[in-house]
Amino acid sequence: MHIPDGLISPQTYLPAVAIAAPLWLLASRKLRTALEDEALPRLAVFTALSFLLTTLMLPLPGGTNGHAIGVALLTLCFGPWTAFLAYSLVLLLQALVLGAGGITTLPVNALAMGFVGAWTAWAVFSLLHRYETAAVAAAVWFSVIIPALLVALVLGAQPSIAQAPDGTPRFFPFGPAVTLPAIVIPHLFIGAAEAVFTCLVWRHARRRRWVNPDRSKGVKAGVHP
Amino acid sequence: MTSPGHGWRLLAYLTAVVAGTAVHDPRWLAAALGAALLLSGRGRGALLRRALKGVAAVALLVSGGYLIMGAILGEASSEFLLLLNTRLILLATLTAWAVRDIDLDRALCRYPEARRWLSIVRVQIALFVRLAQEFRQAQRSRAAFHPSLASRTRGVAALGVAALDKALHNAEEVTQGMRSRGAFDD
Amino acid sequence: MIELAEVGVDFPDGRCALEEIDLRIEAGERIVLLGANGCGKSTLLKVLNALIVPCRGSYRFDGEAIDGARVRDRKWSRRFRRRMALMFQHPEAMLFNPTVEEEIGYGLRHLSDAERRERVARWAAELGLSARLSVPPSALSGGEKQRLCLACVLAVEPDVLLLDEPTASLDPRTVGWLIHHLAESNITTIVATHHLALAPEFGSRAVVLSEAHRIVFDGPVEDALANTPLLLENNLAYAHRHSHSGHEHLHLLCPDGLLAAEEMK
Ligand SMILES: Nc1ncnc2c1ncn2[C@@H]1O[C@H](COP(=O)(O)OP(=O)(O)OP(=O)(O)O)[C@@H](O)[C@H]1O
Ligand SMILES: [Mg+2]
Repeated sequence: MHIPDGLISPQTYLPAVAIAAPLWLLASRKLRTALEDEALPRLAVFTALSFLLTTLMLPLPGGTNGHAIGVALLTLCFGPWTAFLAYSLVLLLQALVLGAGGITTLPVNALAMGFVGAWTAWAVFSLLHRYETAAVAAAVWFSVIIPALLVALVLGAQPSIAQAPDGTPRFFPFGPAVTLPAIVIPHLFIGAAEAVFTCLVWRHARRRRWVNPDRSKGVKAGVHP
Repeated sequence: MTSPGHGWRLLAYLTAVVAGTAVHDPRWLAAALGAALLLSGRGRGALLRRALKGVAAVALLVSGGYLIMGAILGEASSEFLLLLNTRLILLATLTAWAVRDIDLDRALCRYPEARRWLSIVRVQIALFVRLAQEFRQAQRSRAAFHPSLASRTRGVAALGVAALDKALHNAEEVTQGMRSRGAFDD
Repeated sequence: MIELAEVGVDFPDGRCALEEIDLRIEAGERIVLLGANGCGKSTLLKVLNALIVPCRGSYRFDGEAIDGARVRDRKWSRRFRRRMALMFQHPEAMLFNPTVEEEIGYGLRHLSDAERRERVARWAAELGLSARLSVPPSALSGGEKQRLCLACVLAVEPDVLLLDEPTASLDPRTVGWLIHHLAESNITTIVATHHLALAPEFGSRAVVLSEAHRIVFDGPVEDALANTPLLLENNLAYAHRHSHSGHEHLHLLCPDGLLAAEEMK
């Protein structure tokens, strides 16, 4: 969700940086130990792919609501850590190369959609993995809804977190009563659309054996020394 | 070839953004906006236009919503509207300026891995864009009639498959390319 | 110098890419690797470049067996990578530096700054990239990217040069320059191509891979090109039967146009 700078208070984004930074470090460690030499090229290629998916495919009305497509797909195929890192880097590129999205909202978005989104997809899929197609659909849908819920709550909390002494807000002015329906309801449909799309892709992914039994290590394709 | 200047610019930009969210007096924010526009040199009109274009939708939506809520509840504060909009425009202008004047590659000059990551991303983005364009053209040339929603969905899914396939393949090729040139021997 | 014995490569998805490859290459030889799409030319070059370790058989380079352990040895690898360079079929695989200048200089990290700059300038000039030294490789056109890759591998000045379809998107002038350059130098070269007309220019010995991923011919280039059944069988040429002015003809087509027209009765 591309919230521009100026709607989220420092009381929100500074703690978000503090939480996200160690997670980024941990994720890059995980990726390195799992893939060794392949980590950097793999991450770069997937960043490029997610960048295009998120930047070009779905500009939503109002401009407030860019959406991360494919976080769930990346998670299911290559593990939550790769998805989280790739998506965070996409946000960075969007903020610093395109000037879209906002740099202060980056940690909030990365945590909500990248981290929580990826792990939601992962958890739901692991829970339901016996009914595969349903598991994929549910994983995708929840990985869209839960982060949307989270972002709505964070935005909705702004008026109470940051207000002037006389009680007027300083950043985003609406409470959760407004943000929850405004953000979550459209995402119910977005989630459904993405679930359909991901299920179609997933079928092929299975056929081509991208999906490793131990998916947290990601897929190792090709013959490596 | 590499200049440390861009690293400092990046730092200055980040500091300015944090400062812009820590100050809550519209007059100061407006003064900062004026200063930023003054300092950004030629092309400041384009910067401002770009910033306004970026935030116009959000600013209108939030301001309008706030006014309506205020009319209903009878407690709208014009002070807040001024603060919110000045802040939005200031931060968007700072970002537009940063995008124009900070070369990310140079800002990263001390981090060879990050620069390499960025270079691969750039090359790969060009590849994926070409893939998407070719795909869309092929779809258009093959679809004689207006495609149904189902066939369009399948088309997008096929593009998704092709893109993932290509991503996997490219990741492996780039790894081999880097290994072949001794990138993993240092 | 290079010895492959009964080498076979399978990919994890079970597809076979090479089968029972026996090949000996001496220093200074110039070899053209011919074969239809998907017959394993690129894979063979990657095996030679120690990027893919064969599933079966053995590969020796200068008497040293190359296996998984050897490839992971970074010290050995550093030495090996300076002696053998591969130009990939898709230039994007080898481009990972921020500017053209750094890209060409990447393989020369072991040289001093002055030496490196001199070599980069020389090879950039040879390949017409002098004006583009500070642009990122992603901004180059397809042919320019291929020229850049060529500059990258040539700048290393290796003993063995592996080129995977080097002429795919080069303009005729650069192709001519490359042929001339390779003929002048005494580098061992292995060039994969299906551009039959250029085959004799790139080498004197031809190795033909069949679609069953085996070597079906190894000998002088002229013999391979004159061997019409060989070319037809391995889809390096296409026989096209038609008739005009009452005669039935067999036209033999290869990517470079009409190779020969045989009169049929
Ligand atoms: N990473 C991979 N995973 C699975 N199969 C592969 C992979 N790379 C190549 N192959 C298969 O191995 C075979 C040989 O491929 P290779 O790229 O070596 O052919 P080639 O002779 O270079 O073809 P071309 O003329 O199209 O470049 C093909 O059948 C291909 O499908
Ligand atoms: Mg090939």
